[in-house]
Amino acid sequence: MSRGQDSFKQRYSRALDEEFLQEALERATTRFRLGRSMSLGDIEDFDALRQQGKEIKEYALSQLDVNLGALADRVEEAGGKVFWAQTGEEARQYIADLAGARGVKLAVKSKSMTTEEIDLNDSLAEVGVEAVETDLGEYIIQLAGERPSHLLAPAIHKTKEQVAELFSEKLGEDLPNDIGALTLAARRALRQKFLNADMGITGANFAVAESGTIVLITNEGNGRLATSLPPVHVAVVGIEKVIPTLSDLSVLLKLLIRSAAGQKISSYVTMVSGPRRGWEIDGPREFHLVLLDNGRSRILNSEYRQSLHCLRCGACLNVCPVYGKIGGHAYGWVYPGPIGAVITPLYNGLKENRDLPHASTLCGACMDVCPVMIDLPEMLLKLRRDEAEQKFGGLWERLAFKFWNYGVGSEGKYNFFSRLGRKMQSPFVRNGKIAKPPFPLSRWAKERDFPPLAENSFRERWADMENDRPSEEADG
Amino acid sequence: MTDSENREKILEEVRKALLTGEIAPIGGRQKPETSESLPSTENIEVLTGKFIEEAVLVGGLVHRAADAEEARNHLKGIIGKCEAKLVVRWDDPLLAELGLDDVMKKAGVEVITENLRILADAEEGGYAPPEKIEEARAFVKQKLAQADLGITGAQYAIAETGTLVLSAGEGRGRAVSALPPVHVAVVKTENLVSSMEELLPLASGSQGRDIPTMESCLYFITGPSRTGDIELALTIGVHGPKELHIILLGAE
Repeated sequence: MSRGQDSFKQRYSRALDEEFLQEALERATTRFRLGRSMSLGDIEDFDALRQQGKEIKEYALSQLDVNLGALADRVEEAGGKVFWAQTGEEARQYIADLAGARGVKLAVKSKSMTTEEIDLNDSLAEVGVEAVETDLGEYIIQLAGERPSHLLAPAIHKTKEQVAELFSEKLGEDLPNDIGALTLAARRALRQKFLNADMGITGANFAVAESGTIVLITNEGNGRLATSLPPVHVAVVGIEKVIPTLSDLSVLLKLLIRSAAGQKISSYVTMVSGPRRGWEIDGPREFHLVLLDNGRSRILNSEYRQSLHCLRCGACLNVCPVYGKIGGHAYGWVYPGPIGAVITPLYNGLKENRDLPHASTLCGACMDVCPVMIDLPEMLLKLRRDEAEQKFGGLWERLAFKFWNYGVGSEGKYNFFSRLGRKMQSPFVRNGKIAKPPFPLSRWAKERDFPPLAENSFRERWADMENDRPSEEADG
Repeated sequence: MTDSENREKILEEVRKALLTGEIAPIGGRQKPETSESLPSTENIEVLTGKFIEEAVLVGGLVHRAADAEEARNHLKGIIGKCEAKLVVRWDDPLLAELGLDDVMKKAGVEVITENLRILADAEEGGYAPPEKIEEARAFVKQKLAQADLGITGAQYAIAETGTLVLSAGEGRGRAVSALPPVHVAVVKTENLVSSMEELLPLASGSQGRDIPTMESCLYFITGPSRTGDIELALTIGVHGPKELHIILLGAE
């Protein structure tokens, strides 16, 4: 299901016009890039670490059935409950039913892209549960009724003035345009939610099979409160997040946190292995692990398996020239940037999202920064190929390539069409370029100029040079 | 559909995918070499120095104490500065040994100790009616909501990143280091390790055993809570504590 009724073009055009968004994207991506490079300073061979990360992920997926089984067994041994959800709908239903059975009125959520993927908040609202986002950025956009614009800093598109206005309205206080005061206001408001919540809902950055542990990485402390105070904890975790061992975890933690926020470690890393035990004074009475497939096993079975390695760090966003201009909303779903351009078509259909794989210059910067070396450009190309094979592209494009295919089919045809092209282009060449070619090339030339075909082809010039050159071999 | 049917369905899909899908690249089927944890070869002084450097870098406040008296003095100072009236603390042997309660009582501070058995009036054998237990939990939660300061120990500390490692358990609550605006953690230098790689096998008790066992919750604290979510401006003190004080116990 794609979000919104408008097209990719409409969304990105809007984004390009928004001045503050452009500034914010510039600021955010620059800051994150800088943070990332600086945080690599103390690691001798970061590329070797990335290679390790890639191998861990490959190995983890190659044994996914075993790892999932082990994870579930360990969680159940520790007194937790595991629900296996094949679809988003099954996961939503399970959580809504659980909320109903436990009389849940208020749930606090720690940031989870997976729960956004399945629209969990909507289905909870339908059964009368208020689900409050507690990550400050997510809280802001929840109050504003918007979608996140960046993977890590979901509300960077908002100015502090906008946040002040929003908070003043929603919290019923008169708040100044001061970031400290606004943060304090959010803290006060959300503390009440944490204290009164009947359920805490989180995702997980990793799930470790050998110990039955899920791992939450936060800086604000909302993950800690959501897993300490409410009596029930539900963790929604995509099946691709399972890794075999704790030592694998320490490698991936290093990679993820540095790539994401440029820190050596986040303020809080919380490792949960089941509900509270015995005479613990707080912590959840019940722990529910919802393992979500929702298309992941299908992707496992495809040429795009590598996309499941993604750690959701956001590093690719920060270097992508396209994302840097259009921001997260333009991608139309939950995951933006290069990884979003790959997985949105995979989860929600290539036909509906056929523009996304084209929103790339194939510069490869994303692959260079990916902590687990995912070959994103390769997958974008494959998606474009899929699109062509399934004939979603425009008619003119298909005809143009059919013609091209024919025209370069032999040397004779190539020479003929080149000479023809040279003759036919002359009315359109001005100042050494073709700015306004005839239809259908005119559509492509709206934002580009064509260079003209050269007067003499390289082969003709080479042949001329060969004829003119004095014979050196004769002298021996 | 029953739970095990759901489980089988998904595992079946996964197995099918692995058999017919893209063959994992070379190396994908072998367990990759991850650096096995090495025992800390650094001496405690080196680790201590590194830990302090890193902890301060992320905004923690470190107080070195050679003995119990110095620890008590540090706490006295912190309590005074925060004007604390209500403190919740772990029921931890180290904290008791240090005699921290005396300092607080003298300063007129109300101290709640997280001993659920006592708070629920449990009998010798360990039984208490469920309602009393729930009441006791609710009581502590309410106190935590109002507390000015929370005191805990720390099972370990990681020098590489200036990180405290706490595990939940009887007498060791989770929210006490997250809800109050100030968190004081007492840690011994002898519990310092160099890195996360070294820490995890220790924390999971997996050295020399096949299957690691983790506590219900193991959490890592590095500095006070922070966010950059509004205009990327760094703000300290969001949902977690604004101030983190670390009393580092060990001969100087």
